[in-house]
Amino acid sequence: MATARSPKARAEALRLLEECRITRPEDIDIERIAEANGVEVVYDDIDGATASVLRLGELSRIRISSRIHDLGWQRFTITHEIGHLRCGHVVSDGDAHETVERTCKPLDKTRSIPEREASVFASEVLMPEPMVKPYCAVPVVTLAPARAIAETFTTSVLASALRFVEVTDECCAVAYCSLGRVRWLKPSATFPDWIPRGRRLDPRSAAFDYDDSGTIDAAPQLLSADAWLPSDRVDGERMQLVEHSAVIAPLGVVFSMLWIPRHEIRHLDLAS
Amino acid sequence: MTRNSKRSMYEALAHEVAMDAAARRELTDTQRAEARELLAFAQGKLAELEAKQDRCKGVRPEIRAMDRPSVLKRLAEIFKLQPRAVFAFRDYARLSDDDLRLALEDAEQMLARLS
Repeated sequence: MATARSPKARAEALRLLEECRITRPEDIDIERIAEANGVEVVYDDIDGATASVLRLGELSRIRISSRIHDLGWQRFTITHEIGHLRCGHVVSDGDAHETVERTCKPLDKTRSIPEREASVFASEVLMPEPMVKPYCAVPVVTLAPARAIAETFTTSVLASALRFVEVTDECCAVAYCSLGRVRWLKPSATFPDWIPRGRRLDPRSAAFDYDDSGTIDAAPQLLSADAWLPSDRVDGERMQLVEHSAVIAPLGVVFSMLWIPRHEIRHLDLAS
Repeated sequence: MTRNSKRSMYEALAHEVAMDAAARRELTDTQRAEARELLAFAQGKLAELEAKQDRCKGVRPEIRAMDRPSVLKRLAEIFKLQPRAVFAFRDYARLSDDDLRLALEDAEQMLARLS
């Protein structure tokens, strides 16, 4: 079940899908969407930022860094910037100078709500829930459905895994890890909120192997749940967890799809 | 034959010790100094290459010559003239001075088209 986060961004995304008469994944043509919204997209050698958007009057321009080579990342970034325009993230009427200064400080907390809204918008436009839902009906939760979503919707596997977690009814989460620790976790509505940021990876997990040896087992693993969840909260002997991890090598990052099955699994029969 | 065998054994042992030290992240002072030198060399080379790149292509000379406070001041003036303006960027670290100059060039061009 999708969470009710950023309702304004979700509503705006649905409005755009209707306006552009998008009913199939192959209709999600970002260049056409940008054009329909009067946005000029420029691919350029920008410096610190990976993308920027500027609107004055009815004129809008998005600049995308030529450092972004991955098509899925490009599509997400352009749609994220269109999200700023559609969600009306205008420069405040108050002190414009202060606003510009604040906008230029990316760690400023005031940026977090517009940034989240723009990302929710992008996710809804690129992977509309009704179109993604069929990919979530799987007997075993691994990264396989995320990879299928990525292929169909031309998105990154990580963005697709996050979308899967939003839409599915299964008890699962995506853990984003680097340097042997969990950096953040995106849980489904039913996944327990028991994995804190900064938690050390357990040596039994595949994600640990990447930090330890630079290699990772590409196959899903069936583990005791306490390899990821706190042992005082779960019966590790009885509770099972499936982990399927993948690496983003340029960032030195591992992301793992974690799934707590409803029924006991004797072995991972990935053919089923 | 004996010499070769001993050398192979030494190499195997040295390799194991090095792998073990690497795993424990132990380095000698000399290795640390070498690593620091290598890092400084790589960073210097990167800075050199970046300085050669012209990231302000298409930006008028007057804007190129502006410092960050002047660019911000002019952008603020433009946003006052266009109260429904949107300006955002997606970033991992910062919006550089050159990116700001490019944004101002865009803003000036748009302003000219709007007037």
